[in-house]
Amino acid sequence: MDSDSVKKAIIKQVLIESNTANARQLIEKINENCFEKCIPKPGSSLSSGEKTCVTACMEKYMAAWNQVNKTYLQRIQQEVGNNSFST
Amino acid sequence: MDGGLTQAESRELDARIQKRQVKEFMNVFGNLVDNCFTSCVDDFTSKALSGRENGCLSRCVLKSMTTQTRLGERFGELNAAMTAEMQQKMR
Repeated sequence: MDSDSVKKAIIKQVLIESNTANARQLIEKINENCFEKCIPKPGSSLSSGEKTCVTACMEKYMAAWNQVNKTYLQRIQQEVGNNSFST
Repeated sequence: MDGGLTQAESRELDARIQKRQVKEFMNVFGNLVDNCFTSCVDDFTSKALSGRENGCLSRCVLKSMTTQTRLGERFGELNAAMTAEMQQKMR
């Protein structure tokens, strides 16, 4: 295996690891937030209303994650653009 | 040879520092989403974010970033002032 493919393999491995950690953290946060928002009085089982709320909450959280990501990147790119024009 | 790091040790240190920085950034990002979600999203009768919620999230992110920058600057200012004061006292 030449050094280039070794490098690529390492990068791939690092990305997989960081994505896994990412996903794990995301699920943790979704659990916390959606439990808090959707299940004010925990009973011994989830009502269908609570289930619907949790599903909607999860979808919204992931959409929020994407929106934050997009906004963050846009702002960073703006900064980089500004810096490269300043002398 | 003095008590410095060998090249291999130096590389290892750099790799560890970078890993930690990435982890830390992911933490910051996760908390950002958490906070903005809590502040901006309350209506779970639909599965999609409304335009209002999207806008709120955007503004929340930008405000957080600006705040962080300002906090960093302010911290630097205070640090510099403290250092200057200490140097004064040592004269």
